[in-house]
Amino acid sequence: MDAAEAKSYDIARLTLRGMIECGNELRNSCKNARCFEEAAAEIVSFLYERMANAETSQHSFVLARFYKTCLFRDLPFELQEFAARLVDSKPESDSLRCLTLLGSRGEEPDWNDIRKSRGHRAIPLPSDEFVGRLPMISNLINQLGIDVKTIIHGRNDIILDHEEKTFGVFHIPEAGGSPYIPAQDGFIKPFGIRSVIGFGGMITAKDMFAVILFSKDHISKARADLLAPLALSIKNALIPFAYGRLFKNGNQPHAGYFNDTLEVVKLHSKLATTEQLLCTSERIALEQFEKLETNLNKLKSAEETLVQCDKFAALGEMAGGIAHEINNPVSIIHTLSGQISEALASSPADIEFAKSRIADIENQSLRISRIISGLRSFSRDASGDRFVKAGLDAIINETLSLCSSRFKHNKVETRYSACNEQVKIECRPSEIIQVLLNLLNNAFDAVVATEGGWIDISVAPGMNKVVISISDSGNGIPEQVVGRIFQPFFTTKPVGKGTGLGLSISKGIVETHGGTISLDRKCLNTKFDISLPFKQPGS
Amino acid sequence: MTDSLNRTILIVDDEKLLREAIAYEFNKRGFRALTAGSGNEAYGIIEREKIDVVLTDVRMPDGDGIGLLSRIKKLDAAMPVVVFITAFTDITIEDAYNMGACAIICKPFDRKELQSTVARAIRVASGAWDDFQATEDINSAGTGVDLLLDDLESSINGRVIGIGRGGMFVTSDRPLPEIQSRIRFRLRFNHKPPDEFNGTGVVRWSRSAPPPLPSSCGIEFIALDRKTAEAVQALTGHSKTAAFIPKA
Repeated sequence: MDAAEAKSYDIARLTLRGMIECGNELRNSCKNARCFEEAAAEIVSFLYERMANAETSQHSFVLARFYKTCLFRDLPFELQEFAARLVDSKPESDSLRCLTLLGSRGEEPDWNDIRKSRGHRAIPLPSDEFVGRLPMISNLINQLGIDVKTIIHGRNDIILDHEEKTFGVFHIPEAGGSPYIPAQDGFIKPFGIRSVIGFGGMITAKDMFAVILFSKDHISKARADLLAPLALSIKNALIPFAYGRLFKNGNQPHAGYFNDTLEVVKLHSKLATTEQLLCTSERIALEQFEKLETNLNKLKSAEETLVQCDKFAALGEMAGGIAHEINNPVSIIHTLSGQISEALASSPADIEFAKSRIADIENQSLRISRIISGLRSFSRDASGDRFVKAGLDAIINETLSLCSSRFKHNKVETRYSACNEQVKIECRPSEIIQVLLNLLNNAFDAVVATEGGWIDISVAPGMNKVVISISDSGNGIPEQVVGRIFQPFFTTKPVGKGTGLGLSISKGIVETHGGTISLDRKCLNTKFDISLPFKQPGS
Repeated sequence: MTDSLNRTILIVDDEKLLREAIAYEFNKRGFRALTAGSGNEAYGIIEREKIDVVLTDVRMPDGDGIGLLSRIKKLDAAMPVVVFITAFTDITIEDAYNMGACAIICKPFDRKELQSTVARAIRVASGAWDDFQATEDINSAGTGVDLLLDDLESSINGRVIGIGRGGMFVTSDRPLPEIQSRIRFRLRFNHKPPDEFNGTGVVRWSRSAPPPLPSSCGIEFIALDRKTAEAVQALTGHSKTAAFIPKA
């Protein structure tokens, strides 16, 4: 793949998906390498070229470097000289290990050739004390979970278990002022380095590797934790080279194993690393999944709040109509009761007049209680209610008591011929009222500005279900928005008029009732059909 | 009862039971009560019959109360119209008086208050205010409006005050009395007659603004002295002024 068209990864914003894709590419990045140095060069090239800030498209890293510990005796002559200078004399032991620079990519031209590195080409690690004086290196080794003694003494009795357990992510969130990075003035400050991140671990039983990346973007702890599988993917890519030649023209170092044993060791190492990669990936996937679940729960509770908000928005729109609707019967009751008192106080008392007025009063108080019960059942959260067998006619009438006054006042005719009282459905009545009210309010908004607007409610009972149809005198819903009307927050109403939740909430409610809600596209007017089963499963 | 004798009241409400119950009340007290279920139906009756007072609801299909009020006022600016409003009103009290409503009754209403309001509406329409005797001292009443103005004409033109058929608005940079308070008022004019407006009234609306912006209130006249009554008649009687209390 050409670098120009290759996907780039933003280390500061890496997602689970990015981590998986990037790990996959890293594992395949060293296919063409012939020695460890070439493999290391592939790794740092990949990290330098392909990690970029998503907003600025600039490389994330100023410098990417690859180090590996090697035996002093396996180093080419010039590196041996280099290392010897650092310890002021020729090392006594052949088993001295040196942290050797094997790959380097960065902004400065000199950083792209490991032979041009002045200070860090081969750092001898003769003793604990010596390593302790190198703050970055000792911190790196510690953070990767490696025991410094293992590196220094390279003991033969170290078992492979150690290799399996030590890998990880090295992380300095704030590079500026960090005691672990001595080159503050010459490097950290002028190049604007904010965080340092590294991957590494034991590559064989005796040697460690580390990739160190100097980042212009801040990398948080949470992000750094997500990078553990990348460290393992790098190790996985390097295992085939771990026991081979270091440099293209260099000697084949002695691995300490016979050839067939070496293959077993390599396979074992590869298997162990792959298993670790799987475990780490699983752990990270689970962590990310938990975060997603938490967010989903938050969204769900926000959605529940919105359902209530939608109700109150609808109630607000209806408030004036409801006040009017209640005021009238109260006025009638008030006036009639005064008249009854007078009729009874007169001589002779007009009992017949009083009786007829009392019947009127009873009717008016029923009218009020219907509105109140409609309001009460509508405004409460009914999502946890049990399903009850309820008369559909009563439900429709309760709904109409909440909105018919507003419709009538605005000259929108409401047509409903009472359906058979025997039609009963198992439902949460207040939720069905909410659905009907949403559809009626939508219909009202659509036709209120037109001459002779009407809304029609009809009920068609079938064998197992009943279909309630609400149609209005409007001309249907424009073809280009039909597909979106049940989506949350979709609205064609002006800002502040509708929440855009009515239909999506209605759809959710109808579906929890085992029913369907649909737009009848064959109808020339706007017509919604709500189909509800008479019985709920298991009842 | 003399107010009601041979008077015709038109009751307009889309609520059949309510308009019939109200009609029963007025019939019993000597009125001839007619009813209509909508603004349009009511206007048809007004064109045919001699109506002394109209009592109308606001929210009605087929011609609402506001539309009816403005049509009536074009036909006869002096005809008293009493308007019912609900808590969630479709019109502000200030606007209703400005459009010419001579009284506003909130639903649900008190039967006695309904009777007395209608009786008063009829009386005021003929310019029959109570006679004000300047016996009480303006400051002792506690709630008073006492303004010193240039002259009547420039005060009206400058919208410092406004005179309607049944009341006035006044503006002042001093605090004004609260809604529903019964007040004694005196407007003193520096130049040209009349020298003073004197009377009592009820504050029907009040709009206070932070100083130095002037506050204003609408006052319905209850009692006027003879000279003030004559001046109000002269200002509004023959004109097409519909406003009962003008809006500031």
